[in-house]
Amino acid sequence: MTGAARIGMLMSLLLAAQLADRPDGHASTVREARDDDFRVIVNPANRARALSRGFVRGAYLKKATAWDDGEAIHPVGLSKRFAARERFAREVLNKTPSQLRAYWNQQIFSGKGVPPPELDSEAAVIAYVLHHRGAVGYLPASVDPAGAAVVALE
Amino acid sequence: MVGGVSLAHSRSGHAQIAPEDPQEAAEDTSLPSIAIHGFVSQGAFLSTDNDYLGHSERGSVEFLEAAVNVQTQLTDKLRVGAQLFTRDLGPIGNYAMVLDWAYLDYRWRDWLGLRAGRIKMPFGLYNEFADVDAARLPILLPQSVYSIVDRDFLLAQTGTAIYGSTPLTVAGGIDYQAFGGTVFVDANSSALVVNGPVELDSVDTKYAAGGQLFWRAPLPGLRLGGSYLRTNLDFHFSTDAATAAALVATGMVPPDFDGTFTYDYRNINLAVGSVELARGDWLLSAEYSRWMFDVVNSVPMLLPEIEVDSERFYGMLAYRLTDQLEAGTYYSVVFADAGDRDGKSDRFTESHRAYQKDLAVSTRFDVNDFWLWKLEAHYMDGTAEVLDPDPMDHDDLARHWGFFLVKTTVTF
Repeated sequence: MTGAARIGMLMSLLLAAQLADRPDGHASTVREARDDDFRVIVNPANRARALSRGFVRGAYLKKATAWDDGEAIHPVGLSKRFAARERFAREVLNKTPSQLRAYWNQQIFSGKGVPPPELDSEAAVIAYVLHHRGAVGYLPASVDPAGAAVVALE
Repeated sequence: MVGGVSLAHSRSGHAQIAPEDPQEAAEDTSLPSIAIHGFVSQGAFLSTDNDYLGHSERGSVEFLEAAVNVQTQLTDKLRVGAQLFTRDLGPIGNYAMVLDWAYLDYRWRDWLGLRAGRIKMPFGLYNEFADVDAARLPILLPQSVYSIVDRDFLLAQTGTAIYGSTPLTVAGGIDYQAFGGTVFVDANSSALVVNGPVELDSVDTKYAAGGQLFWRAPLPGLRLGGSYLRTNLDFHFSTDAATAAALVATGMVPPDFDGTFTYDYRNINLAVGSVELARGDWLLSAEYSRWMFDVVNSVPMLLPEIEVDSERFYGMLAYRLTDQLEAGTYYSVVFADAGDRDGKSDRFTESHRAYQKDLAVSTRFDVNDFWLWKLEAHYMDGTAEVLDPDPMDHDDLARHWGFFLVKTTVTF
């Protein structure tokens, strides 16, 4: 057996081993979801199906306070124990956790406002979004939104 | 339990009077939630020379700041809140409780809101929260722009303000504020201590007006802007009868001099240009400021008219090394007279009274989200911002000196 043929057989054996590990037997070409992946959700009465990152950032930093139809925005987030919180802060709010903490200390102690509620469970976030018509929240991507509408981030 | 809700730390770590169940919060529309926050800071400082911000040459722990505020959202557009603040910084404050801010805030649209009451003064990047240790890295903000000595005049204004924020699509966004009102300055504030047989009786502010405009650039974390303040202050002094008689005898004052006189700080114009870049774990900021005003004395023989044009600027760099540790540095410069940066004119008793150049290194350690420690060192060249303890003894002040601080803060 030539060297090339041995390498080719070795590659085939490795591929077969990967396929054998998967329950459906199909080779995976999709990256496994990260623990900190997130999805943005809104109340199902909200017609928006896509939101700009700038708008969501404005909502959570309370620079934007109303939707286009005048409905007040009610942002809600997850508590610190969720990995999705930090990723949401870095990718959407453009702030590290310490920058976000400093931002809210600045707002709180100059009287300009308080941060959105940060809740201890995905179910609590979903319940908040379902009960506030103008709510916007985020969940770990693996969590079923259970009636809340998922919107794309542009 | 009060009105069906309880006072407890919310999940966000802030004490709130609010329903703990979000579903309950959604169904209970009768009571607005009330948020209570506060902080306590205690520090110490020491200088190698010059009593700066108190008795620093011998070391001092007279370095406390504390505040508590209450805020509530009455409707979707209407907020109200107030904050009490107390400070002891050497001879300044002495634990007097003051109303730091208290105002109504009606946000009609994102691009237009109205505030009325006592409102923190927007000036530069950090003036509105210069007293909030947890909101920044350094213990002492660059004194070129955020002078503790002049804090009384830049703390807050009483009046009205409009403000807003608007996106510019691909061009980023704009944040603005404009205000008009007056500034209350407590004549008993020790920052205004006067030496000798003279007392400061009162400080009158005819008006205070100004504004701030920031452009949030498309590059995330970058903002540029400017701030402006115009005001007019009258300082009313008096001296005892013996001193007044002596002054009359010298011919320095008119024969009918009754011991009272006024320093009129006219045409006070303060302006600052600012740039800040916050990217990832880095923070870079720089500001340039000019402070211009005229001082006119009601008795010109006592003090001739003075025109002041002070030049001030700094550059600051900070880096978050870990979730808990941050370090940074800044270089801050004050020129008391932009036209005499070396202090060669007769106006300055010593040349180093004309400038103060400050190289600072700061570290911050966050024990958790509510408790932090800071350690800071300054190398100073010049004494422009040092209050002269004895104007008659010019040997008291050293040109080169060090200043060291440590501070801990708890927020809730």
